Amino acid sequence: MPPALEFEHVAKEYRGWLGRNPVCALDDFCLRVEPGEIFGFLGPNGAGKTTAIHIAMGFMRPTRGSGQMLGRRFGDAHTRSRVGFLAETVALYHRPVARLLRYYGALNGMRDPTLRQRAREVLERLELTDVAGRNAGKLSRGMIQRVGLAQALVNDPELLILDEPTSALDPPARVAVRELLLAFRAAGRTIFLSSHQLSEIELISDRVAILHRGRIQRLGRTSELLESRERLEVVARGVAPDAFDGASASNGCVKFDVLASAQRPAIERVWSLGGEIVRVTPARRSLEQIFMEITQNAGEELRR
Amino acid sequence: MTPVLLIATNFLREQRWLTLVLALYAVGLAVVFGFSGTKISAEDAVFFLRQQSLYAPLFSLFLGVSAIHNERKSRRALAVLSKALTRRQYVAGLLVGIMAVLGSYCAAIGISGAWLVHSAQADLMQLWFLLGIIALTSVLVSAVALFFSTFLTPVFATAATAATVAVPAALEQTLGHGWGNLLPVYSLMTRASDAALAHRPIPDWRAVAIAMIETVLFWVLASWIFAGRDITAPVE
Repeated sequence: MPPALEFEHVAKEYRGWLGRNPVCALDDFCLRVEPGEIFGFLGPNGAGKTTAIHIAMGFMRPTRGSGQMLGRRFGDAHTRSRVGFLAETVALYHRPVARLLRYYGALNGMRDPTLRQRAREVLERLELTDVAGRNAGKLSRGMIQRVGLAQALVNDPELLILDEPTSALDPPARVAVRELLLAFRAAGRTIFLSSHQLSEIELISDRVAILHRGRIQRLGRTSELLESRERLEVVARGVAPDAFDGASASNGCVKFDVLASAQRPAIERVWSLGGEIVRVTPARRSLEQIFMEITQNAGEELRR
Repeated sequence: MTPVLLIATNFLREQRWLTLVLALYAVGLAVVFGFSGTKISAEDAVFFLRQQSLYAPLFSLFLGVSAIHNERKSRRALAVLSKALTRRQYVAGLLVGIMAVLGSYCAAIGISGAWLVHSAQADLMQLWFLLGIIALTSVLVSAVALFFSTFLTPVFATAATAATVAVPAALEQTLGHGWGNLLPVYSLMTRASDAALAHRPIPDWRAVAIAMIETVLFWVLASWIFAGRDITAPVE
Protein backbone atom coordinates (compact mmCIF):
# COMPACT_ATOMS: atom_id res chain seq x y z
CA MET A 1 0.00 0.00 0.00
CA PRO A 2 1.49 3.38 -0.95
CA PRO A 3 2.05 5.86 1.87
CA ALA A 4 -0.55 8.57 2.39
CA LEU A 5 2.23 11.14 2.32
CA GLU A 6 5.93 10.81 1.63
CA PHE A 7 8.73 13.36 1.50
CA GLU A 8 11.96 12.18 -0.10
CA HIS A 9 15.05 14.26 0.69
CA VAL A 10 13.11 17.49 0.33
CA ALA A 11 14.95 20.77 0.74
CA LYS A 12 13.55 24.26 0.49
CA GLU A 13 15.50 27.48 0.47
CA TYR A 14 13.93 30.90 0.48
CA ARG A 15 15.99 33.51 -1.30
CA GLY A 16 15.75 37.25 -1.34
CA TRP A 17 16.06 39.58 -4.29
CA LEU A 18 18.68 38.28 -6.80
CA GLY A 19 19.15 35.17 -4.69
CA ARG A 20 20.55 37.00 -1.68
CA ASN A 21 20.03 36.09 1.99
CA PRO A 22 19.11 32.43 1.50
CA VAL A 23 17.18 30.85 4.37
CA CYS A 24 17.01 27.08 4.59
CA ALA A 25 13.47 26.09 5.69
CA LEU A 26 13.81 22.35 5.04
CA ASP A 27 17.00 20.36 4.77
CA ASP A 28 17.09 16.77 3.47
CA PHE A 29 13.64 16.23 4.90
CA CYS A 30 12.40 12.64 4.70
CA LEU A 31 9.09 11.48 6.16
CA ARG A 32 6.57 8.75 5.47
CA VAL A 33 3.00 8.92 6.76
CA GLU A 34 1.16 5.61 6.63
CA PRO A 35 -2.51 5.29 5.67
CA GLY A 36 -4.93 5.21 8.59
CA GLU A 37 -2.78 6.96 11.18
CA ILE A 38 -2.90 10.28 12.93
CA PHE A 39 0.52 11.81 12.49
CA GLY A 40 1.54 14.66 14.78
CA PHE A 41 3.89 17.15 13.20
CA LEU A 42 5.60 19.34 15.78
CA GLY A 43 8.22 22.00 15.88
CA PRO A 44 8.86 25.52 17.14
CA ASN A 45 8.08 28.58 15.03
CA GLY A 46 10.30 28.65 11.97
CA ALA A 47 10.99 24.91 12.09
CA GLY A 48 9.64 24.40 8.55
CA LYS A 49 6.30 22.71 9.31
CA THR A 50 4.14 24.99 7.18
CA THR A 51 6.71 24.91 4.39
CA ALA A 52 6.56 21.09 4.34
CA ILE A 53 2.75 21.18 4.23
CA HIS A 54 2.70 23.77 1.46
CA ILE A 55 5.12 21.70 -0.60
CA ALA A 56 2.89 18.64 -0.16
CA MET A 57 -0.16 20.65 -1.26
CA GLY A 58 1.69 21.97 -4.31
CA PHE A 59 1.61 25.59 -3.16
CA MET A 60 5.38 25.73 -3.46
CA ARG A 61 8.06 23.69 -5.15
CA PRO A 62 10.96 22.13 -3.29
CA THR A 63 14.44 23.38 -4.08
CA ARG A 64 15.57 19.74 -4.08
CA GLY A 65 13.90 16.39 -3.57
CA SER A 66 10.41 15.18 -4.30
CA GLY A 67 7.46 13.48 -2.71
CA GLN A 68 4.09 11.94 -3.19
CA MET A 69 0.62 12.24 -1.77
CA LEU A 70 -1.82 9.31 -2.04
CA GLY A 71 0.46 7.69 -4.63
CA ARG A 72 0.79 10.73 -6.91
CA ARG A 73 3.50 13.37 -7.06
CA PHE A 74 3.08 16.56 -5.04
CA GLY A 75 0.93 19.21 -6.71
CA ASP A 76 -1.24 16.83 -8.73
CA ALA A 77 -4.61 18.59 -9.04
CA HIS A 78 -6.70 15.44 -9.34
CA THR A 79 -5.22 13.99 -6.11
CA ARG A 80 -6.32 17.09 -4.21
CA SER A 81 -9.96 16.05 -4.70
CA ARG A 82 -9.16 13.25 -2.19
CA VAL A 83 -7.45 15.58 0.29
CA GLY A 84 -8.80 18.05 2.84
CA PHE A 85 -6.61 20.99 3.82
CA LEU A 86 -6.91 23.58 6.54
CA ALA A 87 -4.41 26.43 6.46
CA GLU A 88 -2.84 27.95 9.55
CA THR A 89 -4.54 31.27 8.81
CA VAL A 90 -8.08 30.63 7.67
CA ALA A 91 -9.22 33.19 5.09
CA LEU A 92 -12.67 32.81 3.58
CA TYR A 93 -14.84 34.68 1.14
CA HIS A 94 -17.57 36.85 2.58
CA ARG A 95 -20.59 34.74 1.72
CA PRO A 96 -23.05 32.57 3.64
CA VAL A 97 -21.39 29.59 5.31
CA ALA A 98 -23.51 26.91 3.60
CA ARG A 99 -22.98 28.43 0.16
CA LEU A 100 -19.27 28.76 0.86
CA LEU A 101 -19.05 25.06 1.69
CA ARG A 102 -20.88 24.15 -1.50
CA TYR A 103 -18.50 26.41 -3.46
CA TYR A 104 -15.44 24.60 -2.11
CA GLY A 105 -17.11 21.23 -2.63
CA ALA A 106 -17.95 22.14 -6.25
CA LEU A 107 -14.31 23.10 -6.83
CA ASN A 108 -13.51 19.53 -5.83
CA GLY A 109 -15.85 18.21 -8.50
CA MET A 110 -18.80 17.45 -6.20
CA ARG A 111 -22.30 18.02 -7.54
CA ASP A 112 -25.80 18.27 -6.10
CA PRO A 113 -27.56 16.46 -4.50
CA THR A 114 -24.48 14.73 -3.00
CA LEU A 115 -22.79 18.06 -2.36
CA ARG A 116 -25.83 19.60 -0.66
CA GLN A 117 -26.25 16.51 1.52
CA ARG A 118 -22.57 16.37 2.45
CA ALA A 119 -22.46 20.10 3.27
CA ARG A 120 -25.44 19.65 5.58
CA GLU A 121 -23.77 16.70 7.35
CA VAL A 122 -20.51 18.59 7.88
CA LEU A 123 -22.35 21.65 9.20
CA GLU A 124 -24.20 19.46 11.69
CA ARG A 125 -21.02 17.60 12.70
CA LEU A 126 -19.19 20.84 13.44
CA GLU A 127 -22.23 22.47 15.07
CA LEU A 128 -22.42 25.16 12.42
CA THR A 129 -26.06 24.67 11.44
CA ASP A 130 -27.11 27.80 13.33
CA VAL A 131 -24.71 29.98 11.35
CA ALA A 132 -25.22 28.26 7.97
CA GLY A 133 -26.96 31.34 6.58
CA ARG A 134 -24.59 33.88 8.09
CA ASN A 135 -21.80 35.66 6.26
CA ALA A 136 -18.54 33.77 6.93
CA GLY A 137 -16.58 37.01 6.99
CA LYS A 138 -18.54 38.27 9.98
CA LEU A 139 -18.02 35.27 12.27
CA SER A 140 -15.71 35.09 15.27
CA ARG A 141 -12.20 33.69 14.83
CA GLY A 142 -13.14 30.39 16.42
CA MET A 143 -16.20 30.01 14.19
CA ILE A 144 -14.12 30.86 11.11
CA GLN A 145 -11.70 28.11 12.09
CA ARG A 146 -14.62 25.69 12.33
CA VAL A 147 -15.85 26.75 8.89
CA GLY A 148 -12.28 26.24 7.65
CA LEU A 149 -12.35 22.72 9.03
CA ALA A 150 -15.75 22.17 7.41
CA GLN A 151 -14.44 23.15 3.97
CA ALA A 152 -11.59 20.67 4.46
CA LEU A 153 -14.07 17.90 5.28
CA VAL A 154 -16.77 18.65 2.72
CA ASN A 155 -15.30 16.34 0.06
CA ASP A 156 -15.04 13.42 2.54
CA PRO A 157 -11.26 13.24 2.08
CA GLU A 158 -8.97 10.22 2.44
CA LEU A 159 -6.18 12.41 3.78
CA LEU A 160 -6.69 15.40 6.02
CA ILE A 161 -3.84 17.91 6.33
CA LEU A 162 -4.40 20.32 9.18
CA ASP A 163 -2.15 23.22 10.10
CA GLU A 164 -3.02 24.38 13.63
CA PRO A 165 -6.69 23.33 13.47
CA THR A 166 -7.58 24.17 17.07
CA SER A 167 -5.54 27.31 17.78
CA ALA A 168 -8.62 29.58 17.97
CA LEU A 169 -11.06 27.10 19.51
CA ASP A 170 -12.43 27.07 23.05
CA PRO A 171 -11.96 23.89 25.17
CA PRO A 172 -15.37 22.30 24.32
CA ALA A 173 -14.78 22.88 20.61
CA ARG A 174 -11.29 21.38 20.93
CA VAL A 175 -12.74 18.26 22.49
CA ALA A 176 -15.31 18.07 19.68
CA VAL A 177 -12.59 18.38 17.03
CA ARG A 178 -10.52 15.74 18.83
CA GLU A 179 -13.46 13.34 18.75
CA LEU A 180 -14.07 14.17 15.11
CA LEU A 181 -10.46 13.36 14.22
CA LEU A 182 -10.58 10.09 16.15
CA ALA A 183 -13.78 9.11 14.33
CA PHE A 184 -12.10 10.06 11.06
CA ARG A 185 -9.20 7.72 11.82
CA ALA A 186 -11.58 4.97 12.90
CA ALA A 187 -13.06 5.20 9.40
CA GLY A 188 -9.61 4.34 8.01
CA ARG A 189 -8.64 7.87 6.99
CA THR A 190 -5.27 9.54 7.51
CA ILE A 191 -4.62 12.78 9.37
CA PHE A 192 -1.46 14.84 9.15
CA LEU A 193 -1.70 17.27 12.02
CA SER A 194 0.61 20.19 12.67
CA SER A 195 0.01 21.86 15.99
CA HIS A 196 1.50 23.67 18.95
CA GLN A 197 -1.16 22.11 21.20
CA LEU A 198 1.19 19.40 22.48
CA SER A 199 -1.36 17.86 24.83
CA GLU A 200 -3.77 17.40 21.91
CA ILE A 201 -1.09 15.71 19.82
CA GLU A 202 -0.12 13.53 22.78
CA LEU A 203 -3.72 12.40 23.20
CA ILE A 204 -4.57 11.47 19.64
CA SER A 205 -1.43 10.92 17.55
CA ASP A 206 -0.20 7.45 16.64
CA ARG A 207 3.17 8.78 15.57
CA VAL A 208 4.98 12.04 16.04
CA ALA A 209 7.80 13.88 14.30
CA ILE A 210 9.55 16.82 15.90
CA LEU A 211 11.09 19.21 13.43
CA HIS A 212 13.70 21.82 14.25
CA ARG A 213 15.44 24.11 11.79
CA GLY A 214 14.25 22.09 8.82
CA ARG A 215 15.40 18.71 10.09
CA ILE A 216 13.60 15.94 11.93
CA GLN A 217 15.01 15.68 15.43
CA ARG A 218 12.77 12.88 16.71
CA LEU A 219 10.40 10.49 14.98
CA GLY A 220 8.50 7.55 16.35
CA ARG A 221 5.38 6.14 17.93
CA THR A 222 3.98 8.58 20.47
CA SER A 223 3.88 5.96 23.24
CA GLU A 224 7.53 5.03 22.66
CA LEU A 225 8.67 8.63 22.53
CA LEU A 226 6.95 9.41 25.81
CA GLU A 227 8.69 6.51 27.55
CA SER A 228 12.20 7.46 28.59
CA ARG A 229 14.98 4.97 27.93
CA GLU A 230 17.38 6.73 30.33
CA ARG A 231 15.12 7.13 33.35
CA LEU A 232 12.96 4.73 35.33
CA GLU A 233 10.08 5.36 37.66
CA VAL A 234 10.28 3.42 40.92
CA VAL A 235 7.19 2.92 43.12
CA ALA A 236 7.90 1.57 46.58
CA ARG A 237 6.00 0.91 49.82
CA GLY A 238 7.15 1.12 53.45
CA VAL A 239 9.74 3.85 53.03
CA ALA A 240 9.74 7.55 53.87
CA PRO A 241 9.58 9.94 50.86
CA ASP A 242 12.44 12.09 52.18
CA ALA A 243 14.82 9.15 51.77
CA PHE A 244 14.95 9.75 48.00
CA ASP A 245 15.57 12.91 45.96
CA GLY A 246 12.46 14.28 44.30
CA ALA A 247 10.21 11.55 45.70
CA SER A 248 6.47 12.07 46.20
CA ALA A 249 4.00 10.11 48.28
CA SER A 250 0.50 9.10 47.39
CA ASN A 251 -1.85 6.28 48.42
CA GLY A 252 0.74 4.92 50.82
CA CYS A 253 3.37 4.59 48.10
CA VAL A 254 6.49 6.58 47.37
CA LYS A 255 7.30 7.42 43.76
CA PHE A 256 10.65 8.65 42.42
CA ASP A 257 12.71 8.70 39.21
CA VAL A 258 16.22 7.27 38.87
CA LEU A 259 18.69 6.96 36.03
CA ALA A 260 18.56 3.50 34.41
CA SER A 261 22.19 2.99 35.42
CA ALA A 262 21.29 3.70 39.09
CA GLN A 263 18.34 1.32 39.12
CA ARG A 264 19.99 -1.46 41.17
CA PRO A 265 21.39 0.74 44.01
CA ALA A 266 18.01 2.46 44.32
CA ILE A 267 16.13 -0.83 44.65
CA GLU A 268 18.70 -2.13 47.19
CA ARG A 269 18.31 1.09 49.17
CA VAL A 270 14.51 0.57 49.34
CA TRP A 271 15.10 -2.98 50.62
CA SER A 272 17.76 -1.85 53.10
CA LEU A 273 15.25 0.68 54.53
CA GLY A 274 12.75 -2.14 55.05
CA GLY A 275 10.52 -1.21 52.14
CA GLU A 276 9.27 -3.22 49.21
CA ILE A 277 9.23 -2.48 45.46
CA VAL A 278 5.76 -2.17 43.95
CA ARG A 279 6.90 -1.58 40.35
CA VAL A 280 9.75 -0.27 38.21
CA THR A 281 8.68 1.13 34.81
CA PRO A 282 10.20 3.42 32.20
CA ALA A 283 9.60 6.98 33.31
CA ARG A 284 6.88 8.66 31.28
CA ARG A 285 7.48 12.20 30.16
CA SER A 286 5.11 14.65 28.56
CA LEU A 287 5.46 15.63 24.96
CA GLU A 288 6.11 19.14 26.17
CA GLN A 289 9.17 17.98 28.13
CA ILE A 290 10.54 16.13 25.09
CA PHE A 291 9.79 19.08 22.84
CA MET A 292 11.59 21.53 25.14
CA GLU A 293 14.55 19.18 25.53
CA ILE A 294 14.97 18.74 21.78
CA THR A 295 14.63 22.40 20.87
CA GLN A 296 17.00 23.46 23.68
CA ASN A 297 19.61 20.83 22.74
CA ALA A 298 19.42 21.82 19.08
CA GLY A 299 19.77 25.47 20.04
CA GLU A 300 22.85 24.75 22.17
CA GLU A 301 24.44 22.68 19.40
CA LEU A 302 23.92 25.55 17.02
CA ARG A 303 25.53 28.03 19.44
CA ARG A 304 28.55 25.72 19.79
CA MET B 1 -14.57 24.06 -17.45
CA THR B 2 -16.65 24.06 -14.27
CA PRO B 3 -13.81 25.22 -11.96
CA VAL B 4 -13.11 28.09 -14.39
CA LEU B 5 -16.73 29.22 -14.24
CA LEU B 6 -16.83 28.82 -10.46
CA ILE B 7 -13.73 30.99 -10.04
CA ALA B 8 -15.11 33.51 -12.55
CA THR B 9 -18.53 33.83 -10.90
CA ASN B 10 -16.87 34.12 -7.52
CA PHE B 11 -14.60 36.88 -8.85
CA LEU B 12 -17.61 38.72 -10.26
CA ARG B 13 -19.34 38.34 -6.92
CA GLU B 14 -16.30 39.68 -5.06
CA GLN B 15 -16.17 42.67 -7.43
CA ARG B 16 -19.92 43.26 -7.44
CA TRP B 17 -19.75 46.70 -5.83
CA LEU B 18 -17.04 47.88 -8.21
CA THR B 19 -19.07 46.51 -11.13
CA LEU B 20 -22.15 48.32 -9.89
CA VAL B 21 -20.26 51.58 -9.43
CA LEU B 22 -18.78 51.35 -12.95
CA ALA B 23 -22.19 50.60 -14.47
CA LEU B 24 -23.84 53.42 -12.52
CA TYR B 25 -21.07 55.78 -13.60
CA ALA B 26 -21.64 54.99 -17.28
CA VAL B 27 -25.41 55.26 -16.98
CA GLY B 28 -25.18 58.36 -14.77
CA LEU B 29 -22.91 60.17 -17.22
CA ALA B 30 -25.26 59.35 -20.08
CA VAL B 31 -28.17 60.71 -18.04
CA VAL B 32 -26.25 63.96 -17.45
CA PHE B 33 -25.66 64.27 -21.19
CA GLY B 34 -29.23 63.29 -22.02
CA PHE B 35 -30.90 65.72 -19.65
CA SER B 36 -28.49 68.63 -20.01
CA GLY B 37 -31.27 70.70 -21.55
CA THR B 38 -29.90 71.01 -25.05
CA LYS B 39 -30.62 68.62 -27.89
CA ILE B 40 -28.17 65.73 -28.01
CA SER B 41 -25.92 65.87 -31.04
CA ALA B 42 -23.91 63.09 -32.64
CA GLU B 43 -20.78 64.78 -31.27
CA ASP B 44 -22.11 64.46 -27.71
CA ALA B 45 -22.69 60.76 -28.21
CA VAL B 46 -19.22 60.33 -29.75
CA PHE B 47 -17.63 62.20 -26.84
CA PHE B 48 -19.39 59.97 -24.34
CA LEU B 49 -18.31 56.79 -26.15
CA ARG B 50 -14.71 57.97 -26.62
CA GLN B 51 -14.44 58.79 -22.94
CA GLN B 52 -15.75 55.37 -21.92
CA SER B 53 -13.50 53.65 -24.43
CA LEU B 54 -10.51 55.15 -22.61
CA TYR B 55 -11.71 54.16 -19.14
CA ALA B 56 -12.49 50.52 -19.91
CA PRO B 57 -8.87 49.42 -20.63
CA LEU B 58 -7.77 51.41 -17.59
CA PHE B 59 -10.22 49.54 -15.33
CA SER B 60 -9.16 46.24 -16.89
CA LEU B 61 -5.53 47.09 -16.16
CA PHE B 62 -6.24 47.55 -12.45
CA LEU B 63 -8.49 44.49 -12.26
CA GLY B 64 -5.85 42.34 -13.98
CA VAL B 65 -2.97 43.58 -11.85
CA SER B 66 -4.78 43.08 -8.55
CA ALA B 67 -6.69 39.83 -9.17
CA ILE B 68 -3.98 37.32 -8.21
CA HIS B 69 -2.26 39.66 -5.77
CA ASN B 70 -5.40 40.20 -3.67
CA GLU B 71 -6.17 36.49 -3.52
CA ARG B 72 -2.62 35.67 -2.45
CA LYS B 73 -2.31 38.51 0.05
CA SER B 74 -5.62 37.68 1.72
CA ARG B 75 -4.60 33.97 1.68
CA ARG B 76 -7.97 33.05 0.20
CA ALA B 77 -6.05 31.51 -2.69
CA LEU B 78 -4.87 28.73 -0.36
CA ALA B 79 -8.31 27.25 0.25
CA VAL B 80 -9.15 27.52 -3.45
CA LEU B 81 -5.89 26.06 -4.75
CA SER B 82 -6.08 23.21 -2.22
CA LYS B 83 -8.99 21.90 -4.30
CA ALA B 84 -8.90 19.83 -7.47
CA LEU B 85 -8.09 22.56 -9.96
CA THR B 86 -4.94 23.44 -11.83
CA ARG B 87 -3.20 26.81 -11.78
CA ARG B 88 -4.11 27.15 -15.48
CA GLN B 89 -7.80 26.83 -14.61
CA TYR B 90 -7.36 29.30 -11.76
CA VAL B 91 -5.80 31.96 -14.01
CA ALA B 92 -8.43 31.28 -16.69
CA GLY B 93 -11.16 31.67 -14.06
CA LEU B 94 -9.78 35.04 -12.99
CA LEU B 95 -9.52 36.19 -16.61
CA VAL B 96 -13.10 35.13 -17.33
CA GLY B 97 -14.14 36.88 -14.10
CA ILE B 98 -12.46 40.10 -15.25
CA MET B 99 -14.20 39.68 -18.61
CA ALA B 100 -17.52 39.36 -16.79
CA VAL B 101 -16.90 42.60 -14.85
CA LEU B 102 -15.89 44.39 -18.06
CA GLY B 103 -18.84 42.81 -19.86
CA SER B 104 -21.20 44.35 -17.30
CA TYR B 105 -19.50 47.72 -17.74
CA CYS B 106 -19.69 47.42 -21.55
CA ALA B 107 -23.37 46.48 -21.26
CA ALA B 108 -23.97 49.64 -19.23
CA ILE B 109 -22.09 51.71 -21.83
CA GLY B 110 -24.09 49.96 -24.55
CA ILE B 111 -27.47 50.67 -23.00
CA SER B 112 -26.72 54.29 -22.14
CA GLY B 113 -24.81 54.82 -25.41
CA ALA B 114 -27.68 53.38 -27.44
CA TRP B 115 -30.03 55.85 -25.82
CA LEU B 116 -27.68 58.78 -26.60
CA VAL B 117 -27.01 57.65 -30.17
CA HIS B 118 -30.72 57.08 -30.74
CA SER B 119 -31.48 60.55 -29.34
CA ALA B 120 -28.87 62.01 -31.71
CA GLN B 121 -30.59 60.13 -34.54
CA ALA B 122 -27.29 58.58 -35.57
CA ASP B 123 -26.43 55.09 -36.77
CA LEU B 124 -26.34 52.49 -33.97
CA MET B 125 -23.99 50.29 -35.95
CA GLN B 126 -21.01 52.41 -34.98
CA LEU B 127 -21.92 52.02 -31.30
CA TRP B 128 -21.85 48.22 -31.43
CA PHE B 129 -18.61 48.34 -33.38
CA LEU B 130 -17.01 50.60 -30.79
CA LEU B 131 -18.32 48.49 -27.92
CA GLY B 132 -16.84 45.35 -29.49
CA ILE B 133 -13.46 47.06 -29.80
CA ILE B 134 -13.63 48.36 -26.21
CA ALA B 135 -14.38 44.85 -24.93
CA LEU B 136 -11.63 43.24 -27.01
CA THR B 137 -8.91 45.74 -26.10
CA SER B 138 -9.94 45.64 -22.42
CA VAL B 139 -9.65 41.86 -22.31
CA LEU B 140 -6.25 42.06 -24.00
CA VAL B 141 -5.04 44.65 -21.47
CA SER B 142 -6.32 42.53 -18.56
CA ALA B 143 -4.53 39.45 -19.95
CA VAL B 144 -1.28 41.42 -20.19
CA ALA B 145 -1.78 42.78 -16.66
CA LEU B 146 -2.56 39.30 -15.31
CA PHE B 147 0.59 37.99 -16.98
CA PHE B 148 2.83 40.60 -15.35
CA SER B 149 1.08 40.19 -12.00
CA THR B 150 2.20 36.54 -11.82
CA PHE B 151 5.80 37.61 -11.20
CA LEU B 152 5.77 41.32 -10.37
CA THR B 153 4.36 43.38 -7.52
CA PRO B 154 1.23 45.38 -8.42
CA VAL B 155 3.16 48.63 -8.88
CA PHE B 156 5.71 47.09 -11.24
CA ALA B 157 3.03 45.04 -13.00
CA THR B 158 1.03 48.22 -13.65
CA ALA B 159 4.13 49.96 -15.01
CA ALA B 160 5.07 46.95 -17.15
CA THR B 161 1.55 46.66 -18.59
CA ALA B 162 1.39 50.37 -19.31
CA ALA B 163 4.77 50.17 -21.05
CA THR B 164 3.73 47.10 -23.07
CA VAL B 165 0.63 48.93 -24.28
CA ALA B 166 2.45 52.25 -24.83
CA VAL B 167 5.49 51.02 -26.77
CA PRO B 168 3.55 49.80 -29.87
CA ALA B 169 1.54 53.05 -29.73
CA ALA B 170 4.75 55.10 -29.69
CA LEU B 171 6.20 53.01 -32.51
CA GLU B 172 3.08 53.58 -34.58
CA GLN B 173 3.34 57.30 -33.97
CA THR B 174 7.02 57.48 -34.96
CA LEU B 175 7.52 54.68 -37.49
CA GLY B 176 4.08 54.55 -39.07
CA HIS B 177 1.07 52.30 -39.37
CA GLY B 178 1.62 48.59 -38.75
CA TRP B 179 3.83 48.84 -35.67
CA GLY B 180 0.78 49.42 -33.53
CA ASN B 181 -0.35 45.90 -34.32
CA LEU B 182 2.47 44.49 -32.16
CA LEU B 183 -0.07 44.85 -29.33
CA PRO B 184 -3.07 46.42 -31.05
CA VAL B 185 -4.68 48.25 -28.14
CA TYR B 186 -3.88 51.76 -29.28
CA SER B 187 -4.38 51.10 -33.01
CA LEU B 188 -7.79 49.50 -32.50
CA MET B 189 -8.97 52.15 -30.09
CA THR B 190 -7.92 55.10 -32.25
CA ARG B 191 -9.42 53.55 -35.38
CA ALA B 192 -12.69 52.88 -33.62
CA SER B 193 -12.98 56.24 -31.87
CA ASP B 194 -11.89 58.22 -34.94
CA ALA B 195 -14.71 56.79 -37.00
CA ALA B 196 -17.63 59.21 -37.27
CA LEU B 197 -21.09 58.03 -36.35
CA ALA B 198 -22.33 58.89 -39.81
CA HIS B 199 -20.10 56.36 -41.51
CA ARG B 200 -20.28 52.60 -41.52
CA PRO B 201 -17.24 51.30 -39.60
CA ILE B 202 -14.71 49.09 -41.33
CA PRO B 203 -13.06 46.82 -38.78
CA ASP B 204 -9.34 46.14 -39.01
CA TRP B 205 -9.78 42.37 -38.96
CA ARG B 206 -6.03 41.77 -38.88
CA ALA B 207 -5.68 43.79 -35.66
CA VAL B 208 -8.77 42.09 -34.21
CA ALA B 209 -7.27 38.66 -34.92
CA ILE B 210 -3.90 39.68 -33.42
CA ALA B 211 -5.63 40.98 -30.29
CA MET B 212 -7.52 37.70 -29.85
CA ILE B 213 -4.43 35.57 -30.40
CA GLU B 214 -2.36 37.71 -28.03
CA THR B 215 -5.04 37.47 -25.33
CA VAL B 216 -4.79 33.67 -25.47
CA LEU B 217 -0.99 33.88 -25.62
CA PHE B 218 -0.75 36.07 -22.53
CA TRP B 219 -3.17 33.77 -20.68
CA VAL B 220 -1.01 30.75 -21.59
CA LEU B 221 2.14 32.59 -20.49
CA ALA B 222 0.50 33.75 -17.25
CA SER B 223 -0.66 30.20 -16.49
CA TRP B 224 2.75 28.76 -17.26
CA ILE B 225 4.61 31.23 -15.03
CA PHE B 226 2.03 31.06 -12.24
CA ALA B 227 2.21 27.24 -12.26
CA GLY B 228 5.89 27.47 -11.37
CA ARG B 229 5.54 30.12 -8.68
CA ASP B 230 5.46 29.61 -4.93
CA ILE B 231 2.07 31.06 -4.11
CA THR B 232 2.58 31.37 -0.39
CA ALA B 233 5.02 33.76 1.13
CA PRO B 234 7.13 32.01 3.75
CA VAL B 235 5.08 32.14 6.91
CA GLU B 236 7.96 31.17 9.16
